[in-house]
Amino acid sequence: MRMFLNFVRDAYNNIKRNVLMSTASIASVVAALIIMGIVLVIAINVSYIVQEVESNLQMKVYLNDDITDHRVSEIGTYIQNNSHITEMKYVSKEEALKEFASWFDSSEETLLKGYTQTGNPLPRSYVIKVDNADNLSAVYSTIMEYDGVADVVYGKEYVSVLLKFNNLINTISLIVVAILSAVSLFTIYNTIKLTVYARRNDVEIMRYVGASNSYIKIPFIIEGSVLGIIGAVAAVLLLRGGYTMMIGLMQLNSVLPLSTSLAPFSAVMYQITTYFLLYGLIIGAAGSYFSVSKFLKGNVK
Amino acid sequence: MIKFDNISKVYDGNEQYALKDVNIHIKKGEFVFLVGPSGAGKSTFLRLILKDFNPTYGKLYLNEVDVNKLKNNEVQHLRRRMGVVFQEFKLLEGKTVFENVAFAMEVLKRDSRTIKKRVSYVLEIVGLNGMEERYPQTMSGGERQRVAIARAIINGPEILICDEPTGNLDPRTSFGIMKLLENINTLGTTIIMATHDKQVVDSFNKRVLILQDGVIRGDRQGGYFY
Ligand SMILES: Nc1ncnc2c1ncn2[C@@H]1O[C@H](COP(=O)(O)OP(=O)(O)O)[C@@H](O)[C@H]1O
Ligand SMILES: [Mg+2]
Repeated sequence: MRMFLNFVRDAYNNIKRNVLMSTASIASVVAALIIMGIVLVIAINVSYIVQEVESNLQMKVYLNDDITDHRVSEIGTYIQNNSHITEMKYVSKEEALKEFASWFDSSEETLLKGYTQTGNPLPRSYVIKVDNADNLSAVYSTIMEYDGVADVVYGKEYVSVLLKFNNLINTISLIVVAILSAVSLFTIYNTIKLTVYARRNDVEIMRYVGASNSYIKIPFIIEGSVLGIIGAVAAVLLLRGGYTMMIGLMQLNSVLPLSTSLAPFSAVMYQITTYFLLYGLIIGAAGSYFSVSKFLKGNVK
Repeated sequence: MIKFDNISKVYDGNEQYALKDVNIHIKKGEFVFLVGPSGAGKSTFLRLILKDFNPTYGKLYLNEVDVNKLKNNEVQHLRRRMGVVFQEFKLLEGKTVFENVAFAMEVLKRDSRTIKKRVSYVLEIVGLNGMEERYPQTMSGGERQRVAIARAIINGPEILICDEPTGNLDPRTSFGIMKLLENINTLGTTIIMATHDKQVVDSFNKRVLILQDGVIRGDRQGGYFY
C-alpha cells in the first residue's frame, strides 16, 4: 500500500514535470472523447426517439362492415393472443365518427348529423400497440391474413426510415469510436514513450538493480491511467456544459420537432460518465503498458 | 566466476564486430582493469556481463551458468548479485542521497528499518556519512560517484561493474575513488573496471585486459600498455 502511494506520488510528480506532453495527451483524450461524446449523444437521442416512437406506435386494424359482431370479437381474441401486442382498444362506428368529428370542432353537429342520416361510413376498428418497432411488419402481415380485416395501417415508411437511421447511426458511431480509440491510444503511447525516454536513466538503473519488469512498468501505467482519467473527467464536464446549452437553445427557438424529445442530460450523463472514465482508464493503462513494454524489450537486443 | 567462451558481438544494423573471439576467465575476488581506446568494445564487454544483451556468437558463463539460457526473472535475480557504476553517475536528480541509495533496496522490497540501517552503514563506507538529505545536484563529481558506488554495493553484490567511473573526475578525486574501489574489492567483491586513464591503471598493480577494435590484445598483471 505504501508502495502504491509512492507510485501515485511519482506519477503526479512526473505529470507535473512533463507539463507540455501531459497536457497534449490529456487534450487528445479530451478531443477524442468529445467527438465520441457527440456521436454518442446523437446515437442515444436517436434511440431515445425510436423508443418514444415505439412506445407510441399505434396500428389501426380496420374491419369490413359486412362481418358479424361474433367475427369482430373473434378477431379481437386473435389480436389479444398475439404476444407482440401490448394494448388493444376497440373503436365502434360511433366512436370513430365522434373522433373524426372532433377534428373539426365548429361544424361538429352538422357533420355528425349528415353522416348519421346517410349512414356512418367509418369502419369499426381495433387500435393496438406493438411492443417493438422491429415486430411491426410481422404483426401487420399476421393480422392482414384474418378474414374480415379490411386494412391495417401504421406509419410504415416513417418507422422503417427511423430504424434504418438508427442502425446507420450505430454503425457510424462504432466506426468513429474505433478510429478515435486508436488515435487516443497512439497519443498516450507516444506520451508515455517520451516519459520513459525522459526517465531512461531511472529505468536503466531499475533494470540494473534487478527490479522486476512489473515494478518498472507500474509507475508508467499509473501515470498513463491518470492522464486518461483526467481527460475523461474534462470531457464529461465539457460535454455536459455543451449539452445543457444545446437543450436550452432548442427550447428557446424550438424549430425542430426534435427539441421536445431530446433526452435530458441526467439520462445520458450516467452512461457517458461511466463509459468515459472506464475508457480513459483503459486507454491510458493500455497505451502506457504497450509503450513501456516496447521500451524494455528494445533495450535487450 | 566469469567466463567468456569465444564471444563475438555484432550490434543490430552494424557490420563491424564490437567484440571478436573473446576468451577470458575472471576469478572470484579479482580486480580487473579493462583498457583500450574509445570504441574498443569495453562497454560492450561489461554490458554482456550485465546481460543487457546476448553475445552474437559464443557463450558467457557466470558461476558455471550459461547466461543465454536464463529467463526474465532469473536475469533479474542475476542482476541483484551485481552492482554497476557509470562514468556519468546516473543518479536520480529529484531524490536525496538517501533515496538514491535506498532505491536499490526498495526495488527488492526490503523493509524500511533494514534499509535505513544498511544505507547509513554503506554511506559510511563510501565516506558520505551525514549527507543523507543532500541532493546530488548540490554535490561534487567525486561525491556523486560515491553515492553511485554506495547504491551499487548496497545489496552486497558479488561483482561490481564499473564503466569508466573516473572518466569525469580530476586525478586527485579519481585516486580517492580508486582507493574506495580497492577497499570494496578487499572485502570480497570482484571488480571489473573499464577505463582509458593511464595514470589510474599505472598507480594500481592489477590485472589488465587490453582491448582494441573488439579484440583482446593483452592480458597481464600491472601497468598500462597497448
Ligand atoms: N548500441 C549500439 N548500437 C550499435 N553500435 C554500438 C552500440 N554500442 C556500441 N556500438 C559500437 O560498438 C563498438 C564498441 O563500442 P563500446 O563497447 O561502447 O566501446 P568503448 O566502451 O570501448 O568505447 C563501437 O564501434 C561502437 O560504435
Ligand atoms: Mg564505453
